[in-house]
Amino acid sequence: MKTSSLPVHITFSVDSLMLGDYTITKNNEVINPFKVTGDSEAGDVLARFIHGMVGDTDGSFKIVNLSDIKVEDSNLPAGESLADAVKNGESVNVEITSGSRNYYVEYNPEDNSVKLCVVDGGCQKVTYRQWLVLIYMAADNSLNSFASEDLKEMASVKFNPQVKVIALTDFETGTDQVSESSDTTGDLISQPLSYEVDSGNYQTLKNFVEKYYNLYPAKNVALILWDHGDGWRSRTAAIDDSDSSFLLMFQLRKALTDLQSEGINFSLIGFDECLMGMEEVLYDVKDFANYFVASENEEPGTGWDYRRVFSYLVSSPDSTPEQFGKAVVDAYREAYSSINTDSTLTLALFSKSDVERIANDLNRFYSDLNSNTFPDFQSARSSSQVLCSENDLSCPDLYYVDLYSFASQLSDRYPEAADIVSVINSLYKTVIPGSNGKDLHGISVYFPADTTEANQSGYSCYTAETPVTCTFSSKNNQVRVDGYYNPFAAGTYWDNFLAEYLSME
Amino acid sequence: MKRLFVLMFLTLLSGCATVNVNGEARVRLFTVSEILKNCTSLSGKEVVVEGTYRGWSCPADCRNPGITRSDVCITDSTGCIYLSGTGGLDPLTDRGKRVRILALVSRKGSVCYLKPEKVDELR
Repeated sequence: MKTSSLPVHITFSVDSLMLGDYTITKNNEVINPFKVTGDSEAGDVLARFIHGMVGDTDGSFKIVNLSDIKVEDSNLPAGESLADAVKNGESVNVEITSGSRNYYVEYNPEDNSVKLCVVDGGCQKVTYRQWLVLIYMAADNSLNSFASEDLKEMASVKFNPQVKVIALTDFETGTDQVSESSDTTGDLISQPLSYEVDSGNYQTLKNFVEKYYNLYPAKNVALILWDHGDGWRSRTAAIDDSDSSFLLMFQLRKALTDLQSEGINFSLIGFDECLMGMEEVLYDVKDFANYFVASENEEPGTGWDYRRVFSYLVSSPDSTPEQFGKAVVDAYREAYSSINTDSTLTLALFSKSDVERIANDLNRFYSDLNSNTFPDFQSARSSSQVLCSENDLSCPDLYYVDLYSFASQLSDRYPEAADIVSVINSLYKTVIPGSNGKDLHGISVYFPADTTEANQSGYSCYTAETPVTCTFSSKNNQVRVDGYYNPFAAGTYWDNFLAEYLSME
Repeated sequence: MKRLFVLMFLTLLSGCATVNVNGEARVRLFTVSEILKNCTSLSGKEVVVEGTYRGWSCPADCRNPGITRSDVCITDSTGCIYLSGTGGLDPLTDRGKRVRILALVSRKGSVCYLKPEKVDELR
């Protein structure tokens, strides 16, 4: 096409079905469904519909060849295109023949679904998008500036429709916003919100996921929680200063449970937060995803390297959740391996089965513990690497024990300890030793050595298996939480092990 | 012993307000703004500062070095400065407490911060 012939108006059709039209204004312009519809949401539906028309329900077709199908009928009135019908919020039904196969593709604006249905058979939802990555950035606190930095890292990536990234950012200063990768331009576009986001409220997280999960269906969905973190008691999976709220693990679990009841599950859940690489945290979320990424120790303020993470995903949109999780770990290693840090940095990828195996092994420790074996456990505990002990000025008194350092001392006598060592050895992880750092291996567990340490670190809340009014105490202060419970304590015997151990101490 | 020497040296330098640290010596009490203004010359040196522990609820203009995502800040009547880590206190339940901090003055790029060596609550 020569420049002099522009602009050119093109109408796209398959047999009698008009898909839409578009005016080309420059040479070599690439046209996609997003340009034809002129907006991201309708373009997404049109793209799904086209994939459905050729029988591709999961985006696995690299080339969509519309010449192989025949449109037999549709419910669209003469002269109305599929793009117009979608933009007008109309239901669409198109009957198709492909070789000897007869099927129809339908769009339901009520639930924004596109389905491929076999005549006299079942229907299957259609998507072409490989990844939807939802990032919940609770930065209404001291991390405000790092949220801006991470958004800049994301914005440096040129996205494609195969990878959709949506970040909800609750800022401390400035206007809260939603940032969305544009399917048309590939840029990350931020839109200010007209209201203050309460990111410490589980309902906010739930609404965020619901909206974009349904709006942009994808083969794989990742949820990344971005904020401060402090492990099992995490009042800080999201902390919001403006609203004086924080999201506790049981509330995060409630949001995920509610979403699951609506059919929403995740391929991967990540914590771009400090101290969340612990068995308790991973156990609490294990039923909602297949893979998890978390840091055992504190993270640098800049957290994950989103430029590297999304550059990888855009170039490899067919990545499995495991491959994506490994890429997050690799990006962290590349970002921080050459800097000098005081404390050891870790980031590890966990599968659901890793988490379950470790939980089962910890349960067996409870069966093992008696007055005869107590010295074994006591000795192992006293020689373990402990994060956030009383004299550690980097964090409050939490008493998180590096699980490898504990289990490896017992592995010659207790098969379950050997199994924990085996699981941890097989984790895909990065450990970047700090100049003043501990010997860490990627995952911790709460383990106060005595009742003094237990009382300093919220032990009474830890053992809450059913909702109670729980008082988190520091040395001289208290925060009361109604309806608190620890899902890990409810689901395992590690709290029983601790109770028994502390009674013997 | 090295620490004691530095503290005594600082005492000699100034006739301003002084405090006891560990009952060992009387040292000058710095304000946050003094530390920020003299960050270059104080870098690598120990200071004592008193202020309000703000946890992760820091003024927007307080510059966060991001040593870790858990860094907290303290404020006094002259300004705000970050510590690396939480200072051993709880960023949520200990918010609002008065603290005295013995710390090494440090820099990350252009951001001045404190590396705490001892944090005491003031009653």
